Amino acid sequence: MVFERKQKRRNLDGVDALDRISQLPEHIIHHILFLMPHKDAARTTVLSKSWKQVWNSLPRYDFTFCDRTYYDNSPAHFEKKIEKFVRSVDEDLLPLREHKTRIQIVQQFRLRMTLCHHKYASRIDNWIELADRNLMESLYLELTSMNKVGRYVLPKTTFFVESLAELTLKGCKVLRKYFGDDMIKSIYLRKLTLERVDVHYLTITKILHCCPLLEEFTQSNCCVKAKRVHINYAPKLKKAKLYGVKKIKIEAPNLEELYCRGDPGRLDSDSFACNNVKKLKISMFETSKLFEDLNSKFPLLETLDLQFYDSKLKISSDRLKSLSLLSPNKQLPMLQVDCANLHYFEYNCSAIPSSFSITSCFLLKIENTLRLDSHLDTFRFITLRQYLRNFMQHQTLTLWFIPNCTISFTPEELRKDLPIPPIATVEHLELGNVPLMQDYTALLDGLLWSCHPKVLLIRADSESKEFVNFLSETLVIREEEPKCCGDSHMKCWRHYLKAVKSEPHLDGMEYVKECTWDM
Amino acid sequence: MKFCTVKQYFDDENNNNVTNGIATTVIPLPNKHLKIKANNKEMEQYEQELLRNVMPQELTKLILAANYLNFKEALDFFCRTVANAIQNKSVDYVRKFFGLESDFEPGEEEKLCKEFAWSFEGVDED
Repeated sequence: MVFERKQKRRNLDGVDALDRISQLPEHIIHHILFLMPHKDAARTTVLSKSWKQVWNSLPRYDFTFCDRTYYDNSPAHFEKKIEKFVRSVDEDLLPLREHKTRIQIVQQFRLRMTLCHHKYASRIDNWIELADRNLMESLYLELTSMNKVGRYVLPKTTFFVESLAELTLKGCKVLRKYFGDDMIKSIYLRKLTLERVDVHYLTITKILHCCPLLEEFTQSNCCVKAKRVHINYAPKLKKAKLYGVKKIKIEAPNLEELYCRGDPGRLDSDSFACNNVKKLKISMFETSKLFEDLNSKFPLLETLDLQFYDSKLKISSDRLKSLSLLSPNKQLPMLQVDCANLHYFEYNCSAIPSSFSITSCFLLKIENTLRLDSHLDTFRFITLRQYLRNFMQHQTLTLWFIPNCTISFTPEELRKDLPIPPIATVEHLELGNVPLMQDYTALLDGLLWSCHPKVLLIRADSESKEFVNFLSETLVIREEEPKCCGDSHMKCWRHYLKAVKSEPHLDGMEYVKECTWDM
Repeated sequence: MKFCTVKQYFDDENNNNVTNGIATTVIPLPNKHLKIKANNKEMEQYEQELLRNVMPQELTKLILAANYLNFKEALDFFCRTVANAIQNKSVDYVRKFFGLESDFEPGEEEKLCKEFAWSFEGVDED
């Protein structure tokens, strides 16, 4: 294949100097590249477009070997199947073995199998070493070891393969001694994932020390002995996922996305030195007062997704745009959200906050999901009404009931001198798991006293039909001028509901109605 | 057998693949090769000499000649010479060596450098 001729240029000697090198047949250039160290050969891509083309025309391979044999209580039978699989892999790798005079690129090498006998470990070593020699770019190993068979240990040299940009290990083992203190060699990984790997957390620290180019790191349920993460060198790290740890200490100045899930664990002000983080997700951690001053810890934070356990929580940030809070606590929390720039707020909890304040002029979308407790009374409905009033409009509310809950709503209890906040509008009110009841009057009265939904949706589940029937009767068939509340200052919803219209069917919903309210 | 193609060349005057100057370098090669085959050091010296005396463009002409003449040993030798000359050298040096100009769009080269960052670590700015 001959490339396009480049324009004639005069070199310093005045002789017409065509870019002759581009006129060389491709196989010759491939041979020249083969005669150089891989690093230097790869660098030729940057010379010019035609050289990039040469590199792209090198033979490439993508290998995915996946054995899904399940152990069926017959060791001999199982081993036979594995043996068959191993032989098929050897066969598929033949073309890679055969060519010894040209550069070949293994773009991807993925292997998933069960180690039923330690003899297979050396076969795997063999395959990986073959790929190492052939400019491997991405390696994925998911190896499950059967009882009494040791975990697979990745050969040390593989980590240091210069072309290896992505490495994923699941269920393997990494030896501490491979990364001793005398380690000065570089690892060129850009993406590293360790899942259920038997490795000491300090070994991971050492590995990361050798990775100047690392951009993405995931550690999930590794380190059986000490479930910790300690990262003190990660100059280019942009994204980190740390799952199944009890303690974190991370220093990554360029980190932008951080996801942490505890085992459970504990975080404090020492845990993070990552000033550039824009997106943060934390769950299963005790967080103490970490979020009271986000401006100093995470000055650029825009998105926060937090699972909290405290009964008192204060979040303060100038830049935060999106806040999602999740709490499994049944205690009524006291929340203070001091985020002037907040556009999106999500709250998913088992309890309506007993005290709530939010300072933001820009809230565009609010989603509240509340799992109600076993007894809903007038007081609870008052709390709900007060809470929803914090959000004016643009809010959606999803309420999940628990089975066998009791609901009572007696507006007469509302004392005349008790200040009741004006009622809030809810764009969507969705009800799920509405329990079977004799009489839904209290439920409907309480709900429609707490808020005025523009669209009412009932999720389709096993017991929703009864409630839907009740709604059809009560909502649609009502008097023009209801006379129920007399001169009471607290008029029920019947006095405010102007129209009920059917809405188009939505997936998963049994009942969808648009309601128009008189303010 | 190696000289069959050479004879053919002399009979075919319209051939542009091998110019006179090259012919004078390539033809003596088989003799030199037989002489030097056992002695690697002399080969190295010859290689250095070649590099000093011959412009990179000439070297590519030599490669083409050796390829045309189907002279495997010479081809391999010249390829090795090129490989040795450009390995462990910066991109700019190699561009000058081949008389190349970068024809990438402004952001493209940067992107490539980033993608191949692993190949740039620890290179001489020779």
